[in-house]
Amino acid sequence: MNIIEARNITRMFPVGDGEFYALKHVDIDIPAGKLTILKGRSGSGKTTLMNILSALDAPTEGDVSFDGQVYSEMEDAQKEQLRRKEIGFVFQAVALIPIMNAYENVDFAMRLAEPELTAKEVDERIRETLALVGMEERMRHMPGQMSGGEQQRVAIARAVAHRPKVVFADEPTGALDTESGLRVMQLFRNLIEKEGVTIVMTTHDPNLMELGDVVYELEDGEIIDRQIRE
Amino acid sequence: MIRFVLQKIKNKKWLTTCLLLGLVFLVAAVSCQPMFKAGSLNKMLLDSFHNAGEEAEAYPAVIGRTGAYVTEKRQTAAAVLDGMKGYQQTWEKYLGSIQAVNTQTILTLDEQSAQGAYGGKGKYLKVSYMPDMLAHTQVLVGEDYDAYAGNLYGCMLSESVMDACGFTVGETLEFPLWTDADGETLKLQICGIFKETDSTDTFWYTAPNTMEQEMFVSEETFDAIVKQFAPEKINYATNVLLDYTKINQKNVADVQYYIEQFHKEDESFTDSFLNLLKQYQKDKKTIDITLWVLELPLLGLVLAFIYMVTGQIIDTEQGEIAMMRSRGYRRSQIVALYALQACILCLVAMLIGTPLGYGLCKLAASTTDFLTFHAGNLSMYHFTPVMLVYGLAASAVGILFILIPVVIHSGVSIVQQKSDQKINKKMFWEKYFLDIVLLGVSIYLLHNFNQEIDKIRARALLGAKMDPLIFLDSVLFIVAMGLVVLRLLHYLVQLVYHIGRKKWRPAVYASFLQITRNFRKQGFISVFLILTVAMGLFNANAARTINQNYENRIRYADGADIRLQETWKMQAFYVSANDIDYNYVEPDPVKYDEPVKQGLCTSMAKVIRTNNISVSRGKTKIANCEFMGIHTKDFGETAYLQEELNRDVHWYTYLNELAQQENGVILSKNLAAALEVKVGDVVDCSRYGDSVLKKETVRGTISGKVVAIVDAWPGFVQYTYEDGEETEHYLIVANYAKTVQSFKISPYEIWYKLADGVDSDAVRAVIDAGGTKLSSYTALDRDIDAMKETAMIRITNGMFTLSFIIALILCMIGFLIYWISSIRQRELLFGVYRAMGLSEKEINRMLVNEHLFSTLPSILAGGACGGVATYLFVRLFGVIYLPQKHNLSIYVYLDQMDVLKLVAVLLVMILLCIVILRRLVRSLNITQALKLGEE
Repeated sequence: MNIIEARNITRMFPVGDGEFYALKHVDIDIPAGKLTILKGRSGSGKTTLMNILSALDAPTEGDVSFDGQVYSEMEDAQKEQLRRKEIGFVFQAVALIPIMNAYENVDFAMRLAEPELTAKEVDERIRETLALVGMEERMRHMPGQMSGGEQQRVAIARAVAHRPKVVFADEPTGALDTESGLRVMQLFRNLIEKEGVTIVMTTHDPNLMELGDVVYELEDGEIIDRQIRE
Repeated sequence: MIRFVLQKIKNKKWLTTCLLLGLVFLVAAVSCQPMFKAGSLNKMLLDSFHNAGEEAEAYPAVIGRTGAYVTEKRQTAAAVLDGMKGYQQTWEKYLGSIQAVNTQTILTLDEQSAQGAYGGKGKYLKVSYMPDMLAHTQVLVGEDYDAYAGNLYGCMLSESVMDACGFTVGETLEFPLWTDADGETLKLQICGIFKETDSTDTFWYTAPNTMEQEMFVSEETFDAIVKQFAPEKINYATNVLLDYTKINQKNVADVQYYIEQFHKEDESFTDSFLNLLKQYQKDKKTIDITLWVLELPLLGLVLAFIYMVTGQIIDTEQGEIAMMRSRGYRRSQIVALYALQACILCLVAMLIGTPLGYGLCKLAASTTDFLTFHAGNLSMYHFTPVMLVYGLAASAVGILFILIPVVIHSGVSIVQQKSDQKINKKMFWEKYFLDIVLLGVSIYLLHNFNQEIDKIRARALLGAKMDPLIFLDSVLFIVAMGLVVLRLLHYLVQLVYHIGRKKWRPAVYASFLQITRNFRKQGFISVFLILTVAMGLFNANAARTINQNYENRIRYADGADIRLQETWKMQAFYVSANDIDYNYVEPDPVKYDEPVKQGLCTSMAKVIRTNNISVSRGKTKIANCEFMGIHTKDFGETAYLQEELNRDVHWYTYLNELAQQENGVILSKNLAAALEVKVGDVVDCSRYGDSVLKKETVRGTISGKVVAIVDAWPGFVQYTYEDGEETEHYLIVANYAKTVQSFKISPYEIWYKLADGVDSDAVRAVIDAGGTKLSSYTALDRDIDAMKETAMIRITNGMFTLSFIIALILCMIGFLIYWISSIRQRELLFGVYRAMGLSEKEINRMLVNEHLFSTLPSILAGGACGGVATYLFVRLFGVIYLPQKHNLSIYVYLDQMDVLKLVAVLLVMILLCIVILRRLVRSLNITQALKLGEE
């Protein structure tokens, strides 16, 4: 079953007097409870595609449906609610909010998505997710006091804490060494198993391709290859 | 390198503009100093001359010589005048550019008594000759001495001689002691009475109506009399009137030196203004120090601004600096880069700042009250080349303040920079409790000042220059308290955050964390905000208090809107052959009603005032008491007494008491104490004569029953000062009718209360239109204007106003730049917030919340600091400015309008800031913001 289905996605950016097509008539399906990897060289359109799939950006043409909800039929506020509750993000460069410690970073995402939970429930969930990523010992540390890999682990905890349906991770291993990168991928697999979450990530690291359930390859704004691993 | 620096400036154009602005204001504020000082000193000098002239009712800048030539050597007027030329040439040689505007020379023979043929009699009359006199004279009765064709020597007399001696035109005067070789006595015939053609003519340095002995004859007559009666000597008095407008702060020291030298070398040399120049030198020192002391807080604020903006720039360039260090740039190379940038900016700042300084100086000079301007005559404030030197010095200091943070950060490599990204590092003052230490020091100093208030008062009375430490202590107090309050605010915000920590919505949660975690990074703008508000408020209150207390004292001393007295004629008559008495002739009083009839005044009161009074009880007698004879109703309606003085008992109560007791008297508290009397006791109030001959004669006595003892009374100033010497005055007030009955009619003042919106000049015009000759005139509105014109008050108002305006401009710009750059730095973070689902509205709410918990508390804290500093220090300032003991205590004045103006500017600043921030947030593109992070 697909949790996201995107059809005929085109994204055009005006450049001076001309036009630049970042995505050209892309059709893509994201299966639920799987790790989907978007691969491709820099400028191939993978980040643009991910932004559109995650309702951060709107396509020039085409449409996306997320668990039955069609983006073109949704108001901005509804998309914001969707991003709050059903989506989690792991960004490449800005992993964490610098003024908040590990605990507070996760807490912030929880407050956004689950305002109805009691303080105790929130606290338990924060500790649980931080334990899941192995950061419970360092939850009072500020981002500046953590390594890149640790920051990314906290960012993952923040992305999954509110039990979203899909986690989008843009080059989550880009800034990490191979070992830390592999540890993050392992964590993703772990989360899919334990939390049943769907993960969509971009990467250009060929060593990580093996770990994805579905791998889409992009080039010049088009999907040129799709591999499904059983 | 220059290209690199210019590119750097271009890349950071907003912050660089901000820095440039700080430098421009620094150059402007410093370079306006010498211009403002020179202008103020020139103005003070000119005002001193004007005031001295008005006080003495004579031309204020006069040098001269009195002496005599024996007739053996010089027998004619021409010969005497020729002999005096040598002196005049010496004066001219040394005083150079100070030209003489006029010279008055009088030659006289020794005084003798004369008997008039018609009964007039003169005891001390002098045969006199004054060159060029007729050209400046009009003959009132008779003819001038040139036109006189009689057989005797003709002479002209002023009205005052005629009145004093009872002569008439045509009367022949015989001088029994003037005899010639044949035993003939000197006989002069009065050919005319004269007065000056123009009363403002400087030729009449000594005005005809003050010449009570001189009988003027022509040069020929004078020479003939000398020849015939062979007096031993010819006396002369020459007065050279100098163009004092040419004496300025540059040449004043030379002028003073030469005048002192003339005195040393010539005992007969006279001058009218050496004391004035000496006083000027004393006041100059005070002005020098006052100017700096009043401007110092402003300069501190501007330098803090420069430091802060540089800090912001360095903050955004820290990565680049670290990168350069890692690539092998030496620390000195990086510093040189920034020094070059600072030099370029300073050059531009000089070009803009110097003319701006000129403008600011004119603005400060036109200040008549705090934040009130009146252009007036500002011609003495002009550009001086020293301004450029000051501007350069300011630039150098500016560069230094730019380079301090550069030097600190230039040693950081990329590795250190990354590892040093600690949030919320404690600031050095916070870590070492410097704020509390400084607050303690400032309070200790204040305590000392308060303990020594009497000494400070005494020193100020002697004209000692202002102790800058008092002013600096107030600044120290504001800074230290600002820091302490900031520390407390930090705790308070943390407390509020923790209280609702579990309940805060995401936007509020994030904004609280932003405030508490960034509190120290944001500390500078908070301190700047606190200081601006505190100093703004403090300056406003200090200026208002000084102005208002000056005004209060003038209002109190004047007692009414207008007080005038006509010149009363004294009519002399012989009581016996050797006893001359006098009576006053009351001028027609009908005209005094005219201003009331015309609706210019609402009331008028006659007040008999004299201090030829002694008050006694038993053996205790106090001489020279001030006396007022009043119509209680008119006086109550016309005179003015400050509200503060009526708090316990309204002064009308005392008037009522007096009205009910015909022979009642009101005594000032000090008089009652000196006489040891209480209400109900009887005192004797004796009036002495006004003429020289009757000074010791009691002309009447009121046995008055004391109906009231008062602390203060309209127009009664208990203490006056001259050269630091205090004189205490005593007051006794009686009913007008009883006064006239006991003392006969004597000169009275007319007091007026002006109708709303009427200027005193309108009343003066009505009085002058009737040709009334006034012996005294006081108008409250003019006195207050004159007070505001004084150099010290202008400097105080000018500097306080200037500081207030510049601080507000800098604060506003600094605040905006801080927030804009803070938002720009957080653009990425906002992208993350938006990606996570935070709406635009919530981000706006976050920003408003940040203002609510960081800007607003800073403003309130600034208000509190300013308020406390006002309460503690402003009264002390009042004592320095007004050290004299007075019936009125010094009150601290706050003008709500100042607070409103301050609040309005700050509100505009915050609103503008929020509008700009909202636009920034609206224009934020989430995906682009996130992309920024990737790059």
